[in-house]
Amino acid sequence: MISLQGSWTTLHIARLELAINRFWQQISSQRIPARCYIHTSDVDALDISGTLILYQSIEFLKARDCEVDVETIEGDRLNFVSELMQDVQDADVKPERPPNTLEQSTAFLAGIGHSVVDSLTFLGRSTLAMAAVIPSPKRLRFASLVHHIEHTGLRAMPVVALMAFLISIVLAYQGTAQLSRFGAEIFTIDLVAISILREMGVLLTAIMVAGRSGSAFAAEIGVMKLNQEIAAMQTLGINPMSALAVPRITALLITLPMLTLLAVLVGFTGAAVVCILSLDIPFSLFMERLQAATTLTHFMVGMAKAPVFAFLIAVIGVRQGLLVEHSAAEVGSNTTQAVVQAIFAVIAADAVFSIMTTELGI
Amino acid sequence: MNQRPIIKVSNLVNRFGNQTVHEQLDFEIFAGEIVGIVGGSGTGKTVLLNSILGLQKPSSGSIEFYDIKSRSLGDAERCPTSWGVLFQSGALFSNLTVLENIVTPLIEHTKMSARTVKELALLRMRMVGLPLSAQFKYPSQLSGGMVKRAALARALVTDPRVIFLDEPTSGLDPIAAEEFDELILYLKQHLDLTVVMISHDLDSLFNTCDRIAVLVDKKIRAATPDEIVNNDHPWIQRYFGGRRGRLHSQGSEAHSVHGA
Repeated sequence: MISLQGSWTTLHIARLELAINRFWQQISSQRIPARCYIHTSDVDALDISGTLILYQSIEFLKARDCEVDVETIEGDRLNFVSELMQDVQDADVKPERPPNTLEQSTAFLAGIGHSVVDSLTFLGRSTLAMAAVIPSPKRLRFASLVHHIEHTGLRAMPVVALMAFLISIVLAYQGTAQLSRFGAEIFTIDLVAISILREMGVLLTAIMVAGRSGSAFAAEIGVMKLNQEIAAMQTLGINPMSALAVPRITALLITLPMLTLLAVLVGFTGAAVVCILSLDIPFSLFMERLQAATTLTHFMVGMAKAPVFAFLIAVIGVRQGLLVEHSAAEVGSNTTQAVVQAIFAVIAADAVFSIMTTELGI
Repeated sequence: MNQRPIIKVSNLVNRFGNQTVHEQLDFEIFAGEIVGIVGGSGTGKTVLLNSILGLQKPSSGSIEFYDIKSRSLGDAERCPTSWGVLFQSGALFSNLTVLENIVTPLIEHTKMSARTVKELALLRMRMVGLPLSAQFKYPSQLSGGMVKRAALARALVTDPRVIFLDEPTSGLDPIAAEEFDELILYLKQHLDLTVVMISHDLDSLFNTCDRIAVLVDKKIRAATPDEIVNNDHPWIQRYFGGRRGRLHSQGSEAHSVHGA
């Protein structure tokens, strides 16, 4: 006869398992009897987990040709558990075979191809949605546009300004360090002015906006997708492209050039501060040199890139948001994707601009 | 019935801004009973549940627990093996498979062997009527009813003393809902489980509940189903006095309605 005692409940299972294992070791050193009776009325508490442990023990004995009788347990729990466990043991469910390396790499390459085609399609759809607004500007959702201008433009001003200020200080110091070897410190102003006007102002602002607003677009729209808001729009006859994509793209088209202008102006201020405080160049001389170094062309080359970058950032953010299908985890990964792709696209487009302007001699 | 309270809510007040949801609400839950909470939309059923669960700090009032280890208000210590919660939308962890979801509380709070953990989880899956093939699926691949069942399996896996169900049968077809009621009754009878459920499913309420607690006028009115149907509060009259309510109070005569 085996007598069970104590609490057979979830919290005590770990200790119970240890005790039972010790018990089996003692038993197996002797001979397992052909018949045994399990006495359960001394058990303090027995829940489903405890019953499962009892069931496991009975199966253990049965597997060793021992006939087992169990004292009736209140509520017929043992039968309840054994019936369910019978199902569990009968069912032979295996997880799907994970794909092998070849299948994985094929799927990966196919995925890249698919995503390139899909991106281009989406770029086209966005362009069409934007073009549809031009003949009938009333279809532009004005409230939404203003909201996005505030969030992507106005609220980005402090961080963009600070970034531009610091970058221009870095450029000015690094430039001076090198140019002073030739006694040409004064050309630091040319260096900073031209690099900020043509490259740094717009590129760094675009990267900042990609991190700030591209990610926000993806996360916002992704959560809306999970919440079936996009589906609701479609059933209400609202085109998600014109309701979600167009205001966001338009907002960035307006704010990114303005933020770039801010970055350029603050950048010049930073350069002036370094020149006056650290290079002993008077403000009047700084302004004179600045005017000589900068031309409208330099300014236009920088500003022309801003709307292109804005379009890329907005389209990528919106697309990644709409790609969310099932889970909250996708919102996170697609937001990351939006930022990575947007920054990559901006830098790639910048390279194309550089080649074009050089070839054209601008 | 055993009239030993297991949870006692006294003088509970919940305010959001200038809107009062609960005003001096008193509510007792007794060990081993099934109590249903009903109330109109916006009467604070879920707020009451969240207050009891400690997910929401009430404006004032006290919630006492007897006989189950749990947290007093403001105390971060909690013992999740004492209670299970089935949230309205399931609240399964979306990056874990069904099996991983169900074993999570066991792995977090016990040190039992991997085999037992898995068997306990599969046992619960069978108990709530989930096919075993669903164990490797992610929540996003499940239908609404299966999400409910998987969430119930997760809530039951630690053998809790009290289980809280937020609209357990919503989204289930009538057959699944009836099976669900039977499961709840079985658990109550044989495992001494206390069940607190928010429900609008009158069938489910009358099939399972020992008491029904109605949230009206920012307070709880609790009574047995027979008594509550005869309560003279106008809202309660309308709620249970409708056609579907009458079907139940008439009992066996209900069948003749179909013939008529």
